[in-house]
Amino acid sequence: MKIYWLILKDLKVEFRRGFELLSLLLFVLLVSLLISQSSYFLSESVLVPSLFILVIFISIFVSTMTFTKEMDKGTIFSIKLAPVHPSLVFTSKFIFTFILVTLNGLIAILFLVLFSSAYNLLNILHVFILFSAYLSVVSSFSSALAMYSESRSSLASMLIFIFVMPIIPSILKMDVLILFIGFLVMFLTFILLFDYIMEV
Amino acid sequence: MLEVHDVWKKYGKTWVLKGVNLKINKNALVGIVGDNGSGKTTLLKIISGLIKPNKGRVKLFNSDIRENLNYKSMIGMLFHENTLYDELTVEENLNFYAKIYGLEKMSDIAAEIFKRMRLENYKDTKVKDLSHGMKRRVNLVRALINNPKIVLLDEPLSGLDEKSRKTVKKIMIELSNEKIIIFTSPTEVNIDCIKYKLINGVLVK
Repeated sequence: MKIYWLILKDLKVEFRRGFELLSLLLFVLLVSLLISQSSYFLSESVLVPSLFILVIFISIFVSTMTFTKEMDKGTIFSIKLAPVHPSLVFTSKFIFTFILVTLNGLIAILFLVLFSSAYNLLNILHVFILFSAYLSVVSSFSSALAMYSESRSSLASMLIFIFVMPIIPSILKMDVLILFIGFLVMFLTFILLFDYIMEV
Repeated sequence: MLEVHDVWKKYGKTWVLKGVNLKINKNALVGIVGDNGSGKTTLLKIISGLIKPNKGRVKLFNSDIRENLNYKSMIGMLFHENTLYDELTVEENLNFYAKIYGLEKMSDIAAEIFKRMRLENYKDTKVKDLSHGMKRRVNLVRALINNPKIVLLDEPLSGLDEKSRKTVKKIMIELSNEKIIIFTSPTEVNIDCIKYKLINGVLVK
């Protein structure tokens, strides 16, 4: 149940802070509108890649709300001192990131469908969910890896791009199996490595 | 009970701690005085297991803290920084910490300190709306949330008004009857305790 309290705390803190989530939502709405309008002039084929690029940016935004923020606020020390296994801490941040990334991504899909009548986007929901899960693992780990750095926020963003690069061909091919294996491998690897990060 | 054995720590090329030794065999109140940057916080963080020393070890009940899986449940620490979540209320913060320590609610001792610190009227106030002194008081309660055996207090009197300082001193003395309390201060504190000074990285009595 400790994981439940960790996730609930993160959600409460972010929803009460408000302005960061609102600015993220505004970003999602504006970009969705721009993409849908550009699809009329260019081609409908830009919609899917644009959506995935948008989700990458959402995950970068959310990465600043996880470990880097705990470090900025100093609360990471009391979390490290509490008798909570590091894997639980990492999993809680992953789930928190996944909720926010998926929620904002779904809003983007909804607006893209509304503005450009691109109903085919609804057929790739499963790819989107898997990609969100992959991004959430990468985003949480990048945030943890960068939290000891002075320029943690920018470093975390760069790390996310590095970790996302290898999976991009699979997304473009809509290769669900590779995406799933990628997510699983990353999750298990990062959960093991996170133990060492918390030991520092 | 608690033994700090030949602990060395450096940041960059500077040695902050140069062979610190400290042995506490029974419940006691121990004060460590040192200038800013003398390594007081580093020493407390090493004792708590939050940071690793370059050399030396910390033993708790005759076993190294890194090998003792339960040591986190035995140590409570008041950090110099505020370790509460600004957007949560005082009660929500304390409940959250109680839950992640595996408790239904905060320990009786923490609840008692909560009352003595005159925090009851502020339990529904968000932490961001509290003054610095109030946050320190809530942080002290948080450090005692699970009734730990060893309490590390990093400058517990800083930022408090005279009335609160007296209360905290009294609480520290009372708690030392049943716990090991180690506190730091940048200046001499008028309190009956085992006093140490941290000078040039060495702990002297």
